[in-house]
Amino acid sequence: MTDPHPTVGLDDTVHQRSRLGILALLRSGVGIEFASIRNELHLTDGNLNRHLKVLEDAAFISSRRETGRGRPRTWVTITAAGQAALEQELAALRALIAAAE
Amino acid sequence: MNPATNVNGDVEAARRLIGDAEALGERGWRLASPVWFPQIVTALAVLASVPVALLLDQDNGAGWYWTVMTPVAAVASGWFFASRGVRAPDRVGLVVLATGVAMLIGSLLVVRLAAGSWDMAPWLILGMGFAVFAAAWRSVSTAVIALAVLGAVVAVTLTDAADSYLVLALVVGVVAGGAAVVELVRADPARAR
Repeated sequence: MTDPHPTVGLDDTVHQRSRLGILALLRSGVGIEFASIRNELHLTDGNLNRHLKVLEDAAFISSRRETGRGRPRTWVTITAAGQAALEQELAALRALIAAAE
Repeated sequence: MNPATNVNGDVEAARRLIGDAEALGERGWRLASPVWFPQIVTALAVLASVPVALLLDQDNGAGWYWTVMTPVAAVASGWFFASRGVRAPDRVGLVVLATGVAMLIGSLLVVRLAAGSWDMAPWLILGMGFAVFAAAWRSVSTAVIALAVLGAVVAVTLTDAADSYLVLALVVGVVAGGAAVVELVRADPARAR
């Protein structure tokens, strides 16, 4: 039996460029506020919201809204499942490159 | 499209995605550990203490200066980190906070209660604190400051230098300032252009 093609390891939820960027930015376990992610990845509010919802529905990120003095802030962190999905995606991409070489 | 062209395109896209992901991972960590700020605060505070120590030598000017400046530096750094849109992981944040508080209390106690008994003690607290920061933040430039402080303390103690405070302040201030510049350029290479 032949090995499955490396693209089988790609997960559509993670493979999308912006969502991969969000997970990569959070990869080291840091917490990043919504506006900072938006600025770093040059996304609009609506666009980022949509990608965050997809990732949150897949349990790859968690978000927490903080209210207090000043404007409310939404903090986003990666989950263990998100870390694993990101690592798997990167491994699949490396396998894809290796298979072509 | 030629299948070979398609495969090459996929490989190129995969390489780009991996490169972007690695760069963004590094960027996230760097944003969460803006070590340049405490480095600048340290450089400015230490260098500004030199004229104070020279002009108010008779009246324990450096002691009074640090009694005021240490809490100011701690509050400024705390405010800066709290106001940012990026936070280090909880464990790292706790280590940094606990170390900062320990440095603040330790320095104030030594400066006010044990003044004159061993002048190197505040510098040792600073050096050890920066060593912990360096490990927590995985920051080479912060490790360089810690080594400069601890190395200067050893050198000054061994040589029994006459103007030990001035020597230490100049060494630590210049190294911390240089480290901050390096960090700022690395945080945003566009600044170097």
